[in-house]
Amino acid sequence: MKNHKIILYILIFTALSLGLTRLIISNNMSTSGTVLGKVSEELSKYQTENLLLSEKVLNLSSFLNISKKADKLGFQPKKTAYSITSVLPIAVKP
Amino acid sequence: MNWRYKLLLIFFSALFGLITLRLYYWQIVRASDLSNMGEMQYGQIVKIPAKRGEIKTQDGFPIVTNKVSYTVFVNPKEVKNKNETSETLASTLGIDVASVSSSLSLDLFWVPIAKEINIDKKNEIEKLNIRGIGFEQGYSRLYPEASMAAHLLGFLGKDDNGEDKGYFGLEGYYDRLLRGKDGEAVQIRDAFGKPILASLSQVSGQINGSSLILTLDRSVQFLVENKLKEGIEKYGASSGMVGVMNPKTGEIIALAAFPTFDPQKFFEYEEKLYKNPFITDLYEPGSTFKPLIMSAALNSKVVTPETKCNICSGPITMGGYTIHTWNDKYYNDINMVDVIMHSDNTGMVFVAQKLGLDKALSYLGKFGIGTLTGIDLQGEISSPLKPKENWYQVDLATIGFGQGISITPIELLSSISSIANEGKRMEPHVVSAVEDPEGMVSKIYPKQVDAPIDAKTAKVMTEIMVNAVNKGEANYARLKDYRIAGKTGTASIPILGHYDPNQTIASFVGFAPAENPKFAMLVIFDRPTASIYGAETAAPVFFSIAKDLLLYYGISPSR
Repeated sequence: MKNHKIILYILIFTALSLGLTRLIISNNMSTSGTVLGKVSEELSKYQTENLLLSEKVLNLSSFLNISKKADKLGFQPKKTAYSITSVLPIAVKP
Repeated sequence: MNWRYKLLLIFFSALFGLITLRLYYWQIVRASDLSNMGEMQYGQIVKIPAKRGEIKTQDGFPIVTNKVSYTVFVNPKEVKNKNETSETLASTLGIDVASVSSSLSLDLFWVPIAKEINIDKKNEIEKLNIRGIGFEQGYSRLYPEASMAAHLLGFLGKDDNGEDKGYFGLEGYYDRLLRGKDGEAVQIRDAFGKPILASLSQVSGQINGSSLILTLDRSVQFLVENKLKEGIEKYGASSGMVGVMNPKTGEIIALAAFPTFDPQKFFEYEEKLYKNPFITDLYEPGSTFKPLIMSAALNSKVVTPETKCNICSGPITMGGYTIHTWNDKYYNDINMVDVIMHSDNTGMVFVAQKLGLDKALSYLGKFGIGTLTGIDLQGEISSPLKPKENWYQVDLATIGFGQGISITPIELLSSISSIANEGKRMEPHVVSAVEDPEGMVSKIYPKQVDAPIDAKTAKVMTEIMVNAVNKGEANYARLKDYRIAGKTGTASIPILGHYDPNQTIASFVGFAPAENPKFAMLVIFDRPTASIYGAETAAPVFFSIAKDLLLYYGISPSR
């Protein structure tokens, strides 16, 4: 009789514990959707920002932009060039 | 009593069995249908747009890439004041009020109002807080270098179904590689619309496009376009084009043509500007064709450089036509080296006749004349050579100096490049590698198409062309410190059955440095007005570009 009571108490305790655990976990998970939503939004925001910044970088590093800036700063195309080496001959008569 | 008990037992067992069967039907047989219905109720299908592949120059710079853009859509059922909303949206977006108004009057849940708007415009509309307005993010093409290499690149338009499609150039030729595939994601949300962590979103089908890495050198392209533009203005030409190619690999280093268009706003330009004239326009090449016929004659040993022309003391009459030299100067017993140097038409008639029709047609075929070069750009054409039985004696004579035959500039550049490459003709190509969405790169290797002449003939022809540059009519413009092989061309334009002497295609083709060519180049001006001659228009521009290229490549002077 005493053994039956102990088994019954253990079963009740197990059921209550499992129920409580489920309650706690469900409660935690219920707000994770909000967090996930926020993370997704932030990720999307940074991806878009990344693309916009890439666009800016490409426009600034284009030759079109650089040549306009160079003109404004007074750069001129080079007129002369000097070479201190010449092509080696195929053969030389000593 | 017993039978009542058994009857009840059978009844409840049967009931239990029926319930079990029904449960089996709903949970096993109809499981996927019910699951889909459930997802549709609390799942949201999100379209994941595919990014079209980029196009990058040799240095890795994305000359064509993607930028974020938005489609503005509206739910007409949620819009309260349709008139006010139409006017506000129309003035913000810069579109017709009537078109917005007609969209808002539709009995639909989703109607697009404007496409490909930038983020600034999107933020401006968001601030208006108009009920029922939404935005769908996507991508549109960005050209950081504006109209640089526009003809080479092509543009992205729409097909009949409103889907993105590439037209002309690389966008057209490699459309299937560049375009990706839109995917879908099903995201499970709770009653408040927040995503549920326990259920994973299912993503299916999205594949970004592959990217192209070009042989194009951005610096050279920039330089060439500037010089070409200056040349067209200086010489009063109606149009012009320049092609620069590596003769050893067939890689296109630069390809420019004016007038051109802006691929970002292609719809604002006339359709005739979309075609790349370097691969679509047929023209009679004139004297720039002479090196090909001379090479063929030298290679088949019907002439040597020392062979003397015994019909060159005056104009040649044939088939009712009289063939003159360009300056009406004639040299009795002129040799083959001087024929090219003086660009002597009568000398080339002599060479063509020595070669004969059979050999001439055979060599032209090996040089790729009359066939597509196979360049990887959409829109290339060629004009096949007419059948042998349709050739007259005068036709053979005139192709000797590049008239009476129509070719595209890429055909000429590709065939002259074979002289620069020890007689081997390479297939021209613009793409050097393809990069898939995972980053794996597949190289495209140079391809030899034919070997029209042997290395010895190529060397001899190179020296003849160097001599032409040093002592011919363009010698005043040459670079004195470098050995450059080249040939001028002044081709009359056929108009209404006769040649107009005042309208020409002025050109210059060549390669440098002659002993180990790094590049081959063709410069063409259409109808220059300052002077009709190639020596006075195309040649100076050729040498101006060559000077900068030789410095760019760090090639020391050879003398």
